[in-house]
Amino acid sequence: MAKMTLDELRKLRETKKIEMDMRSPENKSIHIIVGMGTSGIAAGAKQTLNAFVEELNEHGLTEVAVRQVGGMGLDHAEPTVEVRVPDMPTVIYGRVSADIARKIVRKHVLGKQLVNEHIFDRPAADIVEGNR
Amino acid sequence: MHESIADYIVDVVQNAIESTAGNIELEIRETDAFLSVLVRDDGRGMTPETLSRARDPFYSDGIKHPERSVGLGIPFLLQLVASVGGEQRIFSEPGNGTEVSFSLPVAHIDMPPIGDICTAVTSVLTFDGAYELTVFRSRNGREYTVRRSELRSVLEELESVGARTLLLEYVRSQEECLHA
Repeated sequence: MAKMTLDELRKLRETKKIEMDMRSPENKSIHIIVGMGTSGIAAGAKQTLNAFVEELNEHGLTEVAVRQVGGMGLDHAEPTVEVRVPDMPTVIYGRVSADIARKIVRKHVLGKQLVNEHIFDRPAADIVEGNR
Repeated sequence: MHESIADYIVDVVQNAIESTAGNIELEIRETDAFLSVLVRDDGRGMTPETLSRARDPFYSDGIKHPERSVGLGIPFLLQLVASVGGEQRIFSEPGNGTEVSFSLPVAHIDMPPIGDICTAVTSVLTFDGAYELTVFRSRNGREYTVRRSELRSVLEELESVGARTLLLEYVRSQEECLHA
């Protein structure tokens, strides 16, 4: 592969942007936030992050934001991931391996169902409210 | 402990971002004998006393997580350097920032794998926050430099899966030229 220039990157971006704009714009408000502090990295957050990006790419969800932050204060449950999907409760998932990351994309982001066994934070009241 | 040198690099840069740095420089220099890393930031910095305590895994300043009493980032790095007979230096000044550098002999039997430098560079460029990051990377005389502000300008944003994927592709193309 030849070394890509910034101009070539810009052209590639413009081509992809046209494709992305034709897709569902509401996906832009979906946020996957991965804790990448020391404990998260040691527990495999890098593999978790990569799995989210790969799985979202496979489903054509290229507008979704995958963000990185430091630790979320749940070191015992690393890797931790906050998932924000419109019309669903915001949830922090814990012990999110690469396989669980792929499951979160399929079940939570696409299927609009929570992955209950990995929820580590955010009150259940939200879930009840959301289902009324 | 982290599984690769790339993970240590992400960890040290993430510390710099959390120190509210506006400007961060990352240098990754590799030869057949040594891998040397330098992270310099203009963040809040540390007093000599805080720096000394940051070397203790059972100490945390409690600023971000008041309930937490351990801080493992710097102790992990010191343990790595000691285990392979490398060298490290941490210089910090309150209000002026911190400089962390370490050099590791790549042939040491206890040296962890270097790991995926492309993913690590992409990762440190895409944390939340309004920081500038310049990454200088060299390997046996070949080199490249990437700047976060330029990449953000070209890609418009660095968060979406689409932008991240393009950014990784760009960094891979730079990295492959070091190995050609």
